[in-house]
Amino acid sequence: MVTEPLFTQEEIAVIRALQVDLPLVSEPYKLVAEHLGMTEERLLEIMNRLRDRGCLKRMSIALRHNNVGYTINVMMVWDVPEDRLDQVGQAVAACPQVTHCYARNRLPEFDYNFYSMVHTTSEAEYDALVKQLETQINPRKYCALRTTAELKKIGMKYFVEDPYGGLG
Amino acid sequence: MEPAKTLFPSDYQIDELDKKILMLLQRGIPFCSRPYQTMAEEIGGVTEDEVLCRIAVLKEQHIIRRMSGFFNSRKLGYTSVLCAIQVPDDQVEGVAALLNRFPGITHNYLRQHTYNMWFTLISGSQEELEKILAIIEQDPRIDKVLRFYSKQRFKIDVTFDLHKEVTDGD
Repeated sequence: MVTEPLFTQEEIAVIRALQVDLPLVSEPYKLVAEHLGMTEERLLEIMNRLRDRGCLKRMSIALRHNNVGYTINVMMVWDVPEDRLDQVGQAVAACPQVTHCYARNRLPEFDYNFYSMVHTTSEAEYDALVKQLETQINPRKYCALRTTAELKKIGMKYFVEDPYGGLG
Repeated sequence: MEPAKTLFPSDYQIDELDKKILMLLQRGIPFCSRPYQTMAEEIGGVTEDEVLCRIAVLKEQHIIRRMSGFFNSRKLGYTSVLCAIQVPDDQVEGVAALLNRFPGITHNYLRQHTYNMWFTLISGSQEELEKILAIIEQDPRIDKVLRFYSKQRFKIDVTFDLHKEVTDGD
């Protein structure tokens, strides 16, 4: 079976080029376009197209959030009746200290189906948030897993490296 | 409680202009010829050069860890999974070194639980993803990799509000 490739070679070249830091010059896209051997107009056109297709969310930054005051980072996992997942998901998503929330599969070793990542700037704010979430979610049980060390955090590089890290 | 360890602690105190720049950058850098000029105009009272200089400092201070394209991995045809493993304290370093070799393992954290190491893996296909996890499970230090797939996403928003009152961690 031959499947249509999702992206043209030109689009893949643009995706690769946008994965590295945007140059700190007055006309950054012009510089990126020059490296790609295309015009700035063409690059911006492809970027807009990738954005319209939902592939490129935005050009943006990743913050080292514990350097801007968010020192408490906790993955909270909840056991919620399946028929209440939608309602709970929407309520929790509205909470500004929650950056990610997902429904995930349960496992016998870890029987939770709703995940939320919470970030706060103080213990007091965290305690208040936990109380608020407990009330909102009303779970059968829950568990708070504090982040104690960051071992790796990078942006994914698509269409590039050996995925097996030399071990494949 | 010790705050989470960070590889790049920074004593740099961000000021109001930094906050405004960081909020705009988090929202998204415009797709136009002079995006930093557009940002300077939106902030008002600053020049394009000042915006560029501030961003350079914020990167140097490791407050900005990267400034680049943010992609939707699914729309690019990739699959992802959240994984958890149990690692004895004295083997954390070695196991982390193994995991961190894989470019698709983009996040890896220690968390307080018997399953203490949590990582995300993004891969070009389900087959490739399982092959990578099989390599990891072959390691004698690792018993079993728990796999948690996202069934529904309610929110992914890593925008941090920098204008709210930030109190010192206690």
